[in-house]
Amino acid sequence: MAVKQINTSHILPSGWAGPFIDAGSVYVLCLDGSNQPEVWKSGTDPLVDSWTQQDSANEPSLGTGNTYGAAYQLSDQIHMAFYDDTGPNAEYSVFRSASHGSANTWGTVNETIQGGITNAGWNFCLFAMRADGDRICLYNGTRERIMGNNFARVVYARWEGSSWVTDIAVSASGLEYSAEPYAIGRGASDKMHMVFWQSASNWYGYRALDNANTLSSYQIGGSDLTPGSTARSPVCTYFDSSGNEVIGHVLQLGTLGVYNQTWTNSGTVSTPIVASGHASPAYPMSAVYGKKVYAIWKDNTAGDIYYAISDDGAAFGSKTLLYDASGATTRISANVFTRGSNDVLAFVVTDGGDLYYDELVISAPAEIYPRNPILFQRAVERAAYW
Amino acid sequence: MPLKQYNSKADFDADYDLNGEPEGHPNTRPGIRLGYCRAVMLPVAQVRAAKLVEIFGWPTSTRIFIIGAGYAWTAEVLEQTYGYTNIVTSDTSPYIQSTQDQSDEAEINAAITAVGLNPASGEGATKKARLYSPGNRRRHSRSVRNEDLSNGGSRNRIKNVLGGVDVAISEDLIPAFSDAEVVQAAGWIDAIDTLDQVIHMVTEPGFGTGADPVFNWKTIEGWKALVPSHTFMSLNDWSVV
Repeated sequence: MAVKQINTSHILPSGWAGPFIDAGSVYVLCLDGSNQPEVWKSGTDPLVDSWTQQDSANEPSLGTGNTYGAAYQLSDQIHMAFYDDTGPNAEYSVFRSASHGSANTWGTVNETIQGGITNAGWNFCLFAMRADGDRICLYNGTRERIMGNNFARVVYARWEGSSWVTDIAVSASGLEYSAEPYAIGRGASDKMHMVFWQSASNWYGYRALDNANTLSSYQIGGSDLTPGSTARSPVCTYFDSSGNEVIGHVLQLGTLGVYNQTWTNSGTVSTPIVASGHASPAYPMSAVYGKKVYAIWKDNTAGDIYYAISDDGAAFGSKTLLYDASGATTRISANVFTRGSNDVLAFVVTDGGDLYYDELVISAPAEIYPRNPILFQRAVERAAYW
Repeated sequence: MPLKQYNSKADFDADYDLNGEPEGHPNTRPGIRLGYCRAVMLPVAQVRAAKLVEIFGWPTSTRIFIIGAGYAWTAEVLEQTYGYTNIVTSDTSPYIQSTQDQSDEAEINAAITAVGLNPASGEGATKKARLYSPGNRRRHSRSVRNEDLSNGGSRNRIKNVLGGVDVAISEDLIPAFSDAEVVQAAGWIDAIDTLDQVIHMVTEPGFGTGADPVFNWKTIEGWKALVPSHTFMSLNDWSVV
């Protein structure tokens, strides 16, 4: 593998930041030395050509800066939400990528999702979108108080074409429900899967939001889980070989390891599957390819980045080195997409304070014909006619 | 004198601040916030009652006394949802005593008005309909007695309501007292009757910063060390010692 340096003195936000691909160019959301958001774009070959900062004049501004943000790609735009400690607000911005009519420019920036979020506690701002463009932001609302003690409730905000409705409770009221946003992702039928950690009780909570905006009942994942990382991997969903949709979230549990906590759409909770063969992990990340879940993490002992695969719900295989770090590594962000003729696990790491891009080819082209045989036949017929 | 006294609405407002719109609100205005109001505290009481029943599972004939009961919402849920009909409650807060027969309509109206809505029309009226039951809905569903248990007469008045007490529960009360006051109050509770169990539901030092420092914050293990014969139940995670 050929590692390509993207830039110097940049880091990744706490949530998912890509990399994303559009019209052959690869994009990543990152933060400069003052924790201000930037989008960087690769040249024709992200492993060879230089990466460049895009539309620096119109970037979002985040007050004194923090790293609480996440991105989501929908078609030719990279949408994102950040916690802006000026306000403090949850804010939305969008970057228009290569195939957009206003290619490689920022669109709306610093649009207030919710303003005046006082004493939120945890400031993680997670983000995902429905296929129709609805935006969902998962975050902590203004802190609440019972008997002089504080609790933080996980809330979400949604935008369905015109304005934001905010502060919609996801975790329940009460000290025992004090919760921290952990992951969001879109599954089948445009369901948004939301994962949060209940700090007081060490429970992992899960709810799904359907496309009619109804929240599923409250599901508790494994108990006595103590996640311990500032990194937030996205929810990964896939259909297993029995046809059931599996919703998974890869997380770090202290020094125990990297786990994949899973639910099904019916709400059944599965025991976390251990990504085995390591200890002292940090900065968990995940990506899904078919029925394979890739758990990615930093091994705190070696400082390098490893991955392991769970195929169709089976236990994770042994760890494999993904990135041999030269400096101190921190957050990782990963995605699966097709680039050229290969499906790749693309990832960005912070190594020694600089950002690097690399990719792992996970599938060479399996067929040379279009996937739809009818369309292929019609193409052949048209070619014969002409 | 307790470390923290709830003599007035201001005392409650300082320590109770809850999201009155869990269904969300437009980002063009702030969300409605409520203090010690039924609409936001009854869901909390429902969880407390459910956990008491789940953990302790007393027969429904059990005679229960709850002190520090506020407007007795937990007692209300224990009776109406779980069938515990033998419950007596007490709270010595002058504010609780003077307002328990009143509705919280004015407080809800004020909270709705504070975010720029009219509680009598439009969105404000819709919000009010969810937060407030029509009619002269009193804050409590049963009379909350004003007994501090500090003398035999006070204790007997509690005991005589049900002809005896089997289980005594203090509801998030003891963090408002000093250690010495808690030990003294524990003795008063023990003297009510031959009790099967005394349970103190307590908020433990919790999330983040900003917890009111005036309270006597302790873990349930810390409280247990102070009064070993009593049972302590965390309102943070429902663990019991």
